[in-house]
Amino acid sequence: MLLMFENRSFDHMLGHLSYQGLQPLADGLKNPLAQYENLYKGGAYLPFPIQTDLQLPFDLPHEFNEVKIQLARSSVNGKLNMDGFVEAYAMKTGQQPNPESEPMGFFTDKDVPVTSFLAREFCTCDRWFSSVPSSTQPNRSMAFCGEIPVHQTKLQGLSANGNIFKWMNDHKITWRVYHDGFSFFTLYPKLWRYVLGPKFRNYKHLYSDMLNNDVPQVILVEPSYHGIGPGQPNDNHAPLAIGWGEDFLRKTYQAAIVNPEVWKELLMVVYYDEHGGFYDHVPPPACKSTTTEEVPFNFDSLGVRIPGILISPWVRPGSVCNELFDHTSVLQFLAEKFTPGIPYSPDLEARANQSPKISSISVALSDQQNLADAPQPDSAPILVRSVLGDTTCTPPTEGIPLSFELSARDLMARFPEKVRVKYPELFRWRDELDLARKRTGQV
Amino acid sequence: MKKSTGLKFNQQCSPLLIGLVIVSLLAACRSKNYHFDVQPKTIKANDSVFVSWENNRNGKLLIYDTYFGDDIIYRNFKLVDPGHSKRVIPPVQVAILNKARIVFHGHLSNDSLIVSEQIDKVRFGNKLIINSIINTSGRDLDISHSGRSVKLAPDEESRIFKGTSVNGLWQFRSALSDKEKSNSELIKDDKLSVLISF
Repeated sequence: MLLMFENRSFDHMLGHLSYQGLQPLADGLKNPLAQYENLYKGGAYLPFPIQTDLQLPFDLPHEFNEVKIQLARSSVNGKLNMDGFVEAYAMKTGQQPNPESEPMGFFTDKDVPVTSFLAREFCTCDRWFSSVPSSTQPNRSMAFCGEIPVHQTKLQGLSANGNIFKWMNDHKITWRVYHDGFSFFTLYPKLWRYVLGPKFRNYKHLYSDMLNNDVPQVILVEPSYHGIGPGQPNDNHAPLAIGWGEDFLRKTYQAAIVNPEVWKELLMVVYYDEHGGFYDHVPPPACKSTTTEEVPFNFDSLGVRIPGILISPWVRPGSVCNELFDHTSVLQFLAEKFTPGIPYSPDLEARANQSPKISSISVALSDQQNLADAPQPDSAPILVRSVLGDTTCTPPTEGIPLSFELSARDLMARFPEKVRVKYPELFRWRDELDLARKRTGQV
Repeated sequence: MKKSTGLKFNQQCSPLLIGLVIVSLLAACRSKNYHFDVQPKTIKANDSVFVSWENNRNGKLLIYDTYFGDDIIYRNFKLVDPGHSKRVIPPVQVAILNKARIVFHGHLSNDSLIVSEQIDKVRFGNKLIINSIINTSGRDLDISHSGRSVKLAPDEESRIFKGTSVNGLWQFRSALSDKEKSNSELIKDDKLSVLISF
């Protein structure tokens, strides 16, 4: 079961494990926090524990050129200083950064109770990097296609060569996608036949399907993405508060453990597509990746570290895995499991075998079963203080929400009947959006 | 038409929750633009700050302190606009400090690591006056500022800049060791920094 959230770094979500002494083995934040200072115009900006989970004023910078500033390669010794997160933030927002600047904030266990619980109970991966030092579209494409069609996120339809769905179909692996809102895969026109097909199923069925043992071999769980459709976005993309995502994670975990027969053979992977502009202190290692664009673009390192948690009776309880992972580590694992001896793709295998080697997540699994009785998370309600800003009536300008909206409108225009069955909420959302924009003159 | 308003706050208020100040913010049109700022961003205890905003409705200014470690106080200014309660107006933080670290990445120039940079005028303002300075770079450092210069060993303190403003151009130079000259990868840290007491 694969659950990929959006845009948070390891230190931002799980740095508290070591800072609070909850999991000292995890390579998170430690006192003194001054060792992690970021520099901007002569001032030092330190990580700080976030006092309250609130919506942020802005999304944070995380496009390729911005990540380059964040990684801050030294002109003196060539090392990545990892101290340009505040500078990139100031440049993107045009705001004077506060001493406690948004990219430097990290959650304590109080505000990420479910993520923290799962990381402590199961296996925290503290060397899981996003695949490339860029944004959503390149990283998600690498995660689910094993190749990178673009090097940055724009308003664009994406090619889906090498996609995981075709790969699973080719190898007769059963699968299903449970989507809480509009699927990310609508950004890949070639995948629309899947998106509108029976294997894409509403998230509300996940729990009962698991309970009734109606379970395929591979499950992808999609949160509700920020910036598209009605309802509460829970993908954790900044500037969202994190509470809805925590609640979604808890519901998904509860579905994962509801049926002991399913649970005993289950591996749930919780990971993030990229860091979203939030600070992390570990420099990503060198790794060459090339896009499949007409003019290929070369990346020379992995992206910023992201939170990765492996949840299964087959991991050592309360363990930390230091092996080098990126999103293709999941594809490697699927190939090991379902097509032994045959890699997901030759290109992916060659990339993984660079130095340092990118491992399969199978190295974090134990050869014996533990935790037959799955631990229960705290059931206390998670309060979310959130504001929606002007976003409901302001047309999006950035790549992902703009691409989402245009894909949704395109799908509704081309396949109205199928979309009405699959995503009925989209029509009402579109009508309300158009009305709101008309009233505010922002059509 | 937008109106710009300002208030000065003295720092003699309650240390925890200074208060909820309700200010009438009047304007004649329904502009979506707003401006909210507090200057300067770094002050000493008892210094004043200047709060300014543009807005078209009534608003509330929430002021409260948060603490970082034992000796740093952040005074937080948050403009809550009931007319646009769904809008997130970026809050502004002011640091109340007795000392501050100035730090830059150095660059290689001949056989030295050098810095020649203006510090952030918005963050440090123009009222902070230097009392003393300590070399926190972990290596010998030549420091020039406000027409004065000094050479300091690691952790050495000097009062040569006493009475000058923190604001302005700072120049640092640190000679490379023979090993560093032969291989710049041996320069463990490219940062040059000083700690200034006000």
